[in-house]
Amino acid sequence: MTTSSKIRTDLTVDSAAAGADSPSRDSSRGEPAAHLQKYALLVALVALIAVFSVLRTETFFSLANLTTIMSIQATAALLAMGVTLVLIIGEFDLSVAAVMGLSASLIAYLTTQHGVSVLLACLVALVLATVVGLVNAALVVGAGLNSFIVTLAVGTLVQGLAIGIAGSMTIGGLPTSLTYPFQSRFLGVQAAFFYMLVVALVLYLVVGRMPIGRRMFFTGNARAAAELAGVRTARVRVGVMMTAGLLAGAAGVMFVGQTGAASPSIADPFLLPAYAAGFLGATAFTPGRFNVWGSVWAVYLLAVGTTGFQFLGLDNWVINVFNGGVLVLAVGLSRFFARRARV
Amino acid sequence: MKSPVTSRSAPPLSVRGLTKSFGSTRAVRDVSFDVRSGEVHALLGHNGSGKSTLVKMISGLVRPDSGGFNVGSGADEVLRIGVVHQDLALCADATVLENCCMGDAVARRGPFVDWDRERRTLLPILDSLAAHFGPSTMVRDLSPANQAVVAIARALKRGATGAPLDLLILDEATARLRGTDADMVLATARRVAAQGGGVLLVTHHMSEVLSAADRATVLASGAVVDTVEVSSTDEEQLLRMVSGRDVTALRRTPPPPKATDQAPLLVLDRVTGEQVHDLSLEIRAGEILGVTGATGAGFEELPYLITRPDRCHDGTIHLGGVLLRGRTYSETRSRGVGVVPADRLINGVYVAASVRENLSPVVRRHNRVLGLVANPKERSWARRTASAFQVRTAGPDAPIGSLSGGNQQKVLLARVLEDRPKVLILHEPTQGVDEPTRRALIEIVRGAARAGTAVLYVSCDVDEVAGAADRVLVLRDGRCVHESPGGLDRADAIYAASYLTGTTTP
Repeated sequence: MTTSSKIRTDLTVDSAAAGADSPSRDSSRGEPAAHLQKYALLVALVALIAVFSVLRTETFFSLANLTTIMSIQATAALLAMGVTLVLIIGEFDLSVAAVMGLSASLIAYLTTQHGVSVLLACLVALVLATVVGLVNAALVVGAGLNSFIVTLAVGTLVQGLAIGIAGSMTIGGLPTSLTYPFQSRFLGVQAAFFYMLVVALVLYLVVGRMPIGRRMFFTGNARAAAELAGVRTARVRVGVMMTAGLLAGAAGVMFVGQTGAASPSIADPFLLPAYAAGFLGATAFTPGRFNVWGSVWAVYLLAVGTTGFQFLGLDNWVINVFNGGVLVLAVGLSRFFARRARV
Repeated sequence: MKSPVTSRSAPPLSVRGLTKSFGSTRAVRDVSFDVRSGEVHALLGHNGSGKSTLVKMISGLVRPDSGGFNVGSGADEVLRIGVVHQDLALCADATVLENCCMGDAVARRGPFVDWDRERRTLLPILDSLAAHFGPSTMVRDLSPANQAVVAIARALKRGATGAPLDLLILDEATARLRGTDADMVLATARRVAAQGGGVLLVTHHMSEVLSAADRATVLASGAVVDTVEVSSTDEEQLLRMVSGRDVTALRRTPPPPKATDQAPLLVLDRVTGEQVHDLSLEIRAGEILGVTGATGAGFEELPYLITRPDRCHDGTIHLGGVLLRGRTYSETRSRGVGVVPADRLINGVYVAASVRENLSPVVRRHNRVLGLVANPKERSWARRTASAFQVRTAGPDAPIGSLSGGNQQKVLLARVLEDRPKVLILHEPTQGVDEPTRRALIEIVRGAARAGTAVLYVSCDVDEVAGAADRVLVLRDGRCVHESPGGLDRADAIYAASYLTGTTTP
C-alpha cells in the first residue's frame, strides 16, 4: 500500500524479472566475454594512460606524475572504501566528506592552537568520526530513517560544528611529527599510499574472504531473506556505518598528514568521486557487486582522467563534467552487470 | 447510470477451450463456460485448481496456449472487463474519487483535471452500489468491505466514461472479509449484475457461492468439473465436485497414531500475535503438524511468531521444555528452529547470488579456515548438499536465479535442514513449484520428520496440508476451529472447516 520511499542503491531485482519457474540454464556461457567484463576497468585505465601519454608525452608520461597521482589519491581511495562498505549493505552515507573535513580540521586545530599531542589529536578525531557513524546508524537502523537524506543532514550538521570549533579558515603549519609519517617517500611514493594499500588489503579480506562479507552482501541485497537466514542484519548495518565513519576520519588524518594543512570544508570535492568510484568499481572484478579493489582501481581511473584533462590544458570545469559523467555511466553499468549476474 | 435494458446479443463472457501449461504442469485444460447477462457466475476451486491462471488469461495477463474467449459482442475490439483483485490496489492516502480516477483518462478543463465532472460521474455509481460514503472520503478511513466497494466502483466508473462494462471479475476480492462484510460486497456484486452486465465471482468460499451466485463453474486440476445452477445444488454436491484431485504424492488415509507417551518438542501456549489469537498447539519429535485455513485466517503469521517470539503479544513458546525467546531469527535458529519462509524471492533467496552463497548466507563453521571462507571446502560441501537434495544446477557457483522455482525451494530447504533443526517450520513450501518437484519436496520433509524433526507445515493449500501432515489444525480469524488427523480422506472436512462459515467443529 505505502511503498517505501527508500532510494535504492541496490543492484536488486524486480522479482518479476527473476523468473519463478525459468528452466535451469547453463551458466557457463561466453567465458572470454565474462573475463573481458571482469577486467574491463583495468583495460580502461591502461587505455586512458596510453592516450594521455601519447598526447602529452613530456609531462604526463613521467615517473614524477605517476608517483604524484598515486600519493595524492590515497585519501580519496580511503574515503571511497568507506563508501563502498556502505553501498554493499544497501545504504548511503553522504556525511563521509564532512566527517573527513571534521577530522582533518580538528587535528589541525588541536595541535596548532592547543598544543595537544599529535597522537591524542588523531585519536580524538578518529573516535569522533566513529561516533558520527554511530549517530548515522542510530538514525538509519534504529529509527528506520532513509539513509540518503539523514546522512546528508548529519553531514551538514557535522560540518557546521567543525566550522564552529576550528573556524572556516585553513590552518597550516602542522608539526612534522604528523606530516613525516605520511609524506616520507618509498620508491618515490608517499607512505600514505602504502597505508592505503594495507587498509585495502584488510578490507578486501573482510569483504571478499571473510564470512561477514557475505552477511553484508545479503543484508544489502535481500534484507528480509538475510534476516530469515539467521543474519543479524541490524548488527551488520550498525557495524558498517560506524566503520565508514572511522574510515572517513582516517581519510581526514591522512589528508592533514599529507598536506600539512586543513579546513572543515576541504573534503567537499571528495564526495562525488568517492561514489563514482564505488559504482564504477562494481563493474570490475566481481561485476554487479560493490568491491574494495574495484573502488580503489576506479579512484585511480578517475584521477588519471582528471589529471590528463588538466595536462591537456582544459579548464577545471572539465573535471566536474568528467566525474559527473563517469558516475552516471558507472551507475548504469553496475546495474546492467547486476542484471546479467542473475542468469 | 446506464440503461438497465441493454440488448446484448452475445453473453458477457464466453470461454472456449482455454488451455495453458507452465513447463510440465498443465495449469488449465480445455476450459469452456459462459457467463450470462445479469448473472453472478461463481468460479470455484481449490488452490492450484487453475482458477487464478484462468482469470489471468481472461484479464489479459497471461497468453493462452490454445483456445479463446469472447467478452461481450467484441464488436469494436475493446474488452470491457473490470477486475477487482484480492489486494484491491487502492491508495489509502487518497480520496475515493482520486482512487476511482486512477489509471483512467480523466475529464479535463484546459490543462487541469475537471474534478467536478469526475465527481458527477462517480456519484450515481456510488448510489447504484448503495455506498454509504462520498467521493471525498479518504480510503484509509473506510472499512475493508467499503474499500472493496470502492474498487468495484472504480471498475464500473471506467465503464461509465467509455461504454458500459461487459464483465466484472471479483478475483478473491472477499478473501480477507468476514461475515457481514463479505455479504455487503456480494450484495454489491448482485447490484452490478442486476444492471445487466455479468459478474465472475472467483472464490474458495462455498457459502459465498450458495448465497450470491446464480450458477457456478467448478474447476479441479485445471479442468471444468461441471457448471451447475446454484439453486439446484447444495454444499455436499459442491464439496464433492471441488475435490476431484489426483495428487499422488499425498497420503490418502490418516497415518497410524503416534505414541503419545513422548513429551512434545514444541509447545505453544495461548499465543497471541497480530492475527493469531490465543492459539495453543503441541508438536512431538517426528510429527508433521499441518496448519491451514482460508486466506487471511491468521495462520500466515504463525511461522514468524515462532521464529521471533518477541512478536507474541501474549502467551509462551517452549522448545524442548525451555522457554523460547529472541528478538532475531538468529537467536531462535541457534536454539534449533529452522524456517523456510513463503515468498521465496523476497524472504528466501537473493537471485544474483550463487547457489553456494544462498545455501549459507551465514557461512558455516566447518567451511571456515582462520576466519576466512574456505572456498574450495565450501564449494565441495555445496556440491554435496545440492546433490543430496536433488538440486538441478550447473554447479555451486551458478546464480540461483538460473534455477527453476522448485530447485530454488530445494536449496532453501537444504539450507535449513543442514542446520539439523529440532523444529522445521515450512510456510507455503511448494509455492510455484511443479508437481514432480512438489512430490520431491514433500518427501524431503517426511524424511526430516522420520529423522526426528518436529515439523510445522503451514499452507493455504488444504489438500497439500492434509496429504502431507500427520495432524491438521484449521484456523479462522486467528483461532483454531478444527482439528483432524491428516490424510486426503479428511481433506473435505478440513476444506469445509476452512471455507464454510458456521460449521465450527471445535
